[in-house]
Amino acid sequence: MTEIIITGNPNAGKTTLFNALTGRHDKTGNWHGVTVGISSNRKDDFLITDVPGIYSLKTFSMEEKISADYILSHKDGIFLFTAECSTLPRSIMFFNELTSKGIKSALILTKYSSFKKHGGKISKSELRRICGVPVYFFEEINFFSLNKLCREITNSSPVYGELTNKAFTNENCKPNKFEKLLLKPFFSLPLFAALLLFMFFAAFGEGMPGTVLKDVTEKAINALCEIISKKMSSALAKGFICDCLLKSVGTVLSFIPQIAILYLFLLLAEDSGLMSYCAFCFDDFFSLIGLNGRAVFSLLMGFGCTAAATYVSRGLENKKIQRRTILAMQYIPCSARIPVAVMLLSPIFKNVFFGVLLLYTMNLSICLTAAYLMKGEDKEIFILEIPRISVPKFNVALKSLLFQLKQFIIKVSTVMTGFLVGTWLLSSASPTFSLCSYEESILARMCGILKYLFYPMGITDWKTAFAALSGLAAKENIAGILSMFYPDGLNASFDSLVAFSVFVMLCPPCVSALAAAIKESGRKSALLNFFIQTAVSFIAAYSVYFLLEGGAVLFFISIVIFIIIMAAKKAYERINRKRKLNIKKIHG
Amino acid sequence: MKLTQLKNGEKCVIREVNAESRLKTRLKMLNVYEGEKAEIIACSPLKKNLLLLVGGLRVGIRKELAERITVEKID
Repeated sequence: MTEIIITGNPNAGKTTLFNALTGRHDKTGNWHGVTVGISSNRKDDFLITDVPGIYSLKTFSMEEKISADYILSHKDGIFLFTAECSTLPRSIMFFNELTSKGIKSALILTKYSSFKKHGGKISKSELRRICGVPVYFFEEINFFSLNKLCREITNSSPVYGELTNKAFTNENCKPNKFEKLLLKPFFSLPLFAALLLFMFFAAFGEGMPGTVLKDVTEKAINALCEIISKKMSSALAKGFICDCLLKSVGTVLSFIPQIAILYLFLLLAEDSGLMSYCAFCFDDFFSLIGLNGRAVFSLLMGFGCTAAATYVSRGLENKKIQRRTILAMQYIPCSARIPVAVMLLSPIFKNVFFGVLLLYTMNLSICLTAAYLMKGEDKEIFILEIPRISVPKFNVALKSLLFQLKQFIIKVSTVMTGFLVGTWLLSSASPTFSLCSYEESILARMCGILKYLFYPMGITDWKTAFAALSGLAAKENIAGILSMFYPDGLNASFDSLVAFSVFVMLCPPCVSALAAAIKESGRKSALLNFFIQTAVSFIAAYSVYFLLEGGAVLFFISIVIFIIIMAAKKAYERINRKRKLNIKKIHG
Repeated sequence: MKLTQLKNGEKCVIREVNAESRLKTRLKMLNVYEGEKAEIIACSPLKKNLLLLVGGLRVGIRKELAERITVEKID
């Protein structure tokens, strides 16, 4: 078996090449540091490996170190060195560094069409002569040409190459009009804010694609349930399969359109290179709270999946800043919380969009506050390379979107369904293993104590408490379990619903995100953060309930009384002073 | 003069990079090294970051680092 290792500078298109060769769907994007781990794929006689982007073997950031270690320990493999055409002058320095270590590699040039369009010229034959290795454009490489390519690489004899004018003329690298606008703060900052707002509006606004499509999906699933329930004969099976399982799974699945819209926006922002401009513009503000501009990538991707975003944080070059970013990022609500948030808010908000927006704003501000509270005194070297803006390739974005949705559907139909079946069994069996009502079941006994934690939110039902707990395994569970136990909607007061949704949005993410946080930031700080977050979510929910339940009036009155007392005290002191002065005057 | 003394849109030649060797290598890989031409193409909102155009790359650099880079202004 031959091992082929794809390497090169960050954002050169390594993962795109890897996906093209293997047919996989690894994450790609138009920014530096998308790939943070090594991934391999076996196909026929080849083992193809993708490593994170790297500038030099004398490494700097964490993911670069992973890459350098891998390259140096697999020196006898066959390498495909990808280089973006427009950055070839610096890529060739790293290429020479590799060949000087005895590494055999071909040079694969990427992003040629954009390079040519901007006036760049490159000569493959001249490059081949200079470096002594096979040189190809990305478009010329496919899986079937690998055999030939490998032979060429093995037979090549690389030399130290220096670029000549004949081999390479660079493109016009000046920013174009749109990029110039993006680099002007007064344009870009409102633009980014508007885009973020529009993303939520498209997903949750009334009459927008997200809500409309959700209703369609919901109706389709309900119709499917009807058909299946007609075919069932046994009452017990009917009750379980249709009323419990299908309805709950269907409810959660009907949120696919809204989750898809969120993901689509994030994918387009990544693919176009917009996120890097965002990172540059927001670095100023992030440095005030002890993070840096690169945290934008993790925070925005946190709206998709917390665990995935945690791994992306490796691109932050400073370990301390990475840890703080991860810990703060746990407060960003992932897309799996959408079903439960919308479910809780739709009975109380006429337009769910405003409710959702309030919750997201709350989460974001708590996240930033958390980062500020953890802020350290370290001075940091921050360097960020910014790519050219490119029109996102729609088919690439669509492919990754479908891949994300597939993951969601798989998770709902395996992990969540299994969880629901288990819950149903435990909540339908009495301690003596006979069929019983929910209230007398094993689960009711087990959750007896748990429910008291939710009393200060006005929730006295153990089933809701259990649903909140089930979110630890996967956030989809909360919505699934709530719709299983309450097919007609949760019957709680307005205040409790608000308090509970605050809790659900703030509570710690699922175990896989916790595992990722432990792996990246260390067991101690991840677990400590987990407990702090649990406490924060309970306290926030309690105080919201308290304020809504008339506490606000009480709070307001006490503030007014306090102010009156203070004012009275001041006035009294002043009068007293004057009187004393007067007495002094009279007697003096 | 220092890189931070340049205004948006001005060009220069880099004369000296005062950094430890690892950082220097990194900067070299981003085309920031002695003898290279650079142009400032943008400043961040609070003016804490500069965006340089160096040899075909756009590189964002914080002020603390830019202060350690000595340049010569050209027209």
